[in-house]
Amino acid sequence: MSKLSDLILIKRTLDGNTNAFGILVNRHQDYIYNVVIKMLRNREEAEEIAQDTFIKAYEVLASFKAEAKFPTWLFKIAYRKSLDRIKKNKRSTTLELVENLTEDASMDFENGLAIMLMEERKEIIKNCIQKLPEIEAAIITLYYYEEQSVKEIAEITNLSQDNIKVKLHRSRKLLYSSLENHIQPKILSENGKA
Amino acid sequence: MEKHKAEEEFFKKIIKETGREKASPDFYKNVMRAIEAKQTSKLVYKPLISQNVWIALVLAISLSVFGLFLMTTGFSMNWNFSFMNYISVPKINLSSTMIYAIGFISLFFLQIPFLQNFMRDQYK
Repeated sequence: MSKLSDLILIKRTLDGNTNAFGILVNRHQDYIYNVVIKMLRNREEAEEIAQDTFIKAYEVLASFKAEAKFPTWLFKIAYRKSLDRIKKNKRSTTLELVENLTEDASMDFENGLAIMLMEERKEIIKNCIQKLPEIEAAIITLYYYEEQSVKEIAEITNLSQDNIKVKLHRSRKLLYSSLENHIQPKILSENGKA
Repeated sequence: MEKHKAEEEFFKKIIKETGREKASPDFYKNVMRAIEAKQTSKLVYKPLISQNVWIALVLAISLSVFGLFLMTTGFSMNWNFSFMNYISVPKINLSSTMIYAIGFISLFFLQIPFLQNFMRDQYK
């Protein structure tokens, strides 16, 4: 059976077919949850906000414009809901930024990551993303995991494209410095073995 | 430029490697349950007797009361428009039972808009 497009499923939902919306939930739930958990860092809260995103989407589905991409529209709702929750919880993350990355440091860094075991590496990267400020974490997730363009991310976050580019650059550096703290001891110990 | 692209690719690779976080197995069920609950609460209160039927009913009853009034006042079917010259309020001779009946019916109709609003609020 061919996969029905989001637009057809939206139309069917608007005609009163709740099962069509169920397919949309199944199709997009992990993408939405992934962005929300990166921002909220709490499973229960992320689950609640991601569910609220779909419920809200269902309520305002009639306002969805066919020329837009459904995932981008969903991300926009999820992003706003997550920001509201962050404001409610009144917590935000800041991280010290390493401004100057030399080429040598970059090479060491990549080698350091290569030394690590896959699982260890995954865990460290996840932790480092979690340490990013919420908006940067969302932008990194949308850009690298969900492959949203800078233009789409600007639409989701209501920030200018230039601002997104700056934030992406800043986030990479933040990630870099955070990862570096984990990798440096590895490189040193490997060099010690040699 | 080259370096920037390589850096981009490197980050893409290491971030994607970590994989997506997955929603709980109950996620879908919870969303659909909430949506179904919304669906039921969204049901609009539909009156059993529609507005048109009410209008027809009121008209029919008014006409019957008016007819009854004409019958009791001895109105004849000989249409004579000369009565327009000396219009006077005819004396209505109604039995007390009839007056009570009309009074109760009027009260009943007076209550309908209030009852309708009450029911609408209940179903909101």
